[in-house]
Amino acid sequence: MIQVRALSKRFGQVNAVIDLSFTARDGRVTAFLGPNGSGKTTTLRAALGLLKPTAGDVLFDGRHYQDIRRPARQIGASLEASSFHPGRTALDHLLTLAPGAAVAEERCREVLDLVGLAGQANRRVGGYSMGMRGRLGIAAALLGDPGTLLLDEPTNGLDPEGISWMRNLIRAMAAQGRTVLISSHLLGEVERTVDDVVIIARGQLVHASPIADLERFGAPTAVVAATDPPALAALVARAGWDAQWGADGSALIRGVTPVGIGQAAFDAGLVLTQLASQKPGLEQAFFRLTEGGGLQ
Amino acid sequence: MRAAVRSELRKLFSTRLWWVLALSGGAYLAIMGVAMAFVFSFEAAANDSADLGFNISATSRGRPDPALLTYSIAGSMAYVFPLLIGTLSVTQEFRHRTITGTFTAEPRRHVVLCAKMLASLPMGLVMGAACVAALVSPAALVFAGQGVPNGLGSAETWAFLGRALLDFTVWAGVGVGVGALLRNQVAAIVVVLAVTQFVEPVLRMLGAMLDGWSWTRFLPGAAGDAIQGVSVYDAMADINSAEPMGFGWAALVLAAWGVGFAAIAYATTWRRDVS
Ligand SMILES: Nc1ncnc2c1ncn2[C@@H]1O[C@H](COP(=O)(O)OP(=O)(O)O)[C@@H](O)[C@H]1O
Ligand SMILES: [Mg+2]
Repeated sequence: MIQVRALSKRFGQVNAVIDLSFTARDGRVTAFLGPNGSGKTTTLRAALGLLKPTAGDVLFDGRHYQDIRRPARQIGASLEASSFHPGRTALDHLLTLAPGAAVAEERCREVLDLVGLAGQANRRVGGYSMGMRGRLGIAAALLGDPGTLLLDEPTNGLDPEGISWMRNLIRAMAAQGRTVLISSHLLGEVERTVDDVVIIARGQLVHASPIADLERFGAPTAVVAATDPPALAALVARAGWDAQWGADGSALIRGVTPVGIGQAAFDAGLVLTQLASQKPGLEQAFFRLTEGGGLQ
Repeated sequence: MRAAVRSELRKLFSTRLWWVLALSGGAYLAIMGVAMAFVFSFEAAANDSADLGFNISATSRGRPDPALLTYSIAGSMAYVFPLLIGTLSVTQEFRHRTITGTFTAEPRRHVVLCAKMLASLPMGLVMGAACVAALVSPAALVFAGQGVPNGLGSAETWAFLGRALLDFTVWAGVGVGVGALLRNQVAAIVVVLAVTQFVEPVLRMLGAMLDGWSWTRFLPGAAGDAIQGVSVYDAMADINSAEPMGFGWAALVLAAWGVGFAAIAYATTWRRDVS
């Protein structure tokens, strides 16, 4: 279990993380979501003791990261795709981490195989693509067979096949009872993989729940059609609704409840042929929650 | 600590840097050594028992020993190579941001710093062995060919070469201290080259000439040379009357520089945020 407790981090004038609290539970995949610059990486770095929090802390099964001996055996982390020495081979990179994880070369080869880099083990990382570096970062995180995984934007740079591979890997890890926390700025890339979502914007928590509960936060959306399309168009224009027009003269209206649309149509004397509420998308809920919450 | 040291050793030996530096140092010393061996041989032949204009051995202060003086450039001219490997072993981590992984694997930062320093020592020794071999073998052949004693038969020479290895070893550790202090790779290289190639030589030359400047023998380069016990600097001037440090003390003085740099780094920047 990972507990982020009232974490704040300030860089000079920038409040990167503000009083953030959430929990990632065992056996579940928790998505840590937010637009670019919202404070995800800062939170993860603070959790790993790389940054000193301005206030608050992060606990892994009740302990601070700095107090864990041989942390690689309990917590696997992959922060940036680019943190490799370009002149070192993938195998050598893992071998430099092997003593800390108390594993032998055999395990290094095993994780390289697991992430699909077995054939590239003796190539220098400088020649790797973004996606290959991402995979090597995952291999490093898995090296000590940890019960907790922290992955910062693990799908960055991966091709569609890689993304689906990553999903399966993450699901498999959680199925084995591990705690998995993955950050992303794209809900769509993780929505089918995760159990819980934690959403931040401007360094602050805006939402935390099981993924199923996220839909409620989407904007109401309705499809509407009338006997007199030009009159409907005039109404939409007058009301200033956000509408998308279909070829058949129907409109997809966002941000207004069906009741509101029906009332306005009645007041305008329109005869509606269709008024149907649509399920709001997760992505839309995410946008709504984080609106304007990106780079400061 | 053992895991951290092993990790650092693997880092050091798994990139090309160390053998590029060892090769450069070896090539430089081989060329300089052969050149010096020829010069000394010709001079020795020209005026057999005349003074060479040098007052050579700092230990014996006796007649010049061309072979020993030639071999002494190992420490006094090539120490920048082990120094650089130590320095770069730290600055590269910041440059390529691998320090994130290093501090994640071992969050106790003092352990990382100690491990880097300990791991640099065998690296310094290996580089020293390569450099000394590259220097001594061709120069000794030249001396032999010219009929000048090359000293390889004497225990004194071998003890001297052993001290040269110690010199290289300690210098690598000093490099780690310098790298931890400066962190920025370009800045570190510039400072290392400026200090070793200009600032310290000038100070030491002044130290050899001016009264009251005997403190210059505690400078790292001077201490390094005192580990060897023979150096071109000592030979250049009449040497201040100060009694030379024993090699044990000299090694401690040089090590103190490295530990001092590392301690300052630890007290200031080493525990800062890494992002
Ligand atoms: N070392 C730093 N110094 C100053 N500002 C920083 C530093 N690291 C991050 N920030 C700022 O903190 C905010 C959050 O950044 P980050 O945690 O990287 O966001 P995310 O990972 O969600 O994209 C951004 O405004 C970023 O510019
Ligand atoms: Mg980030």
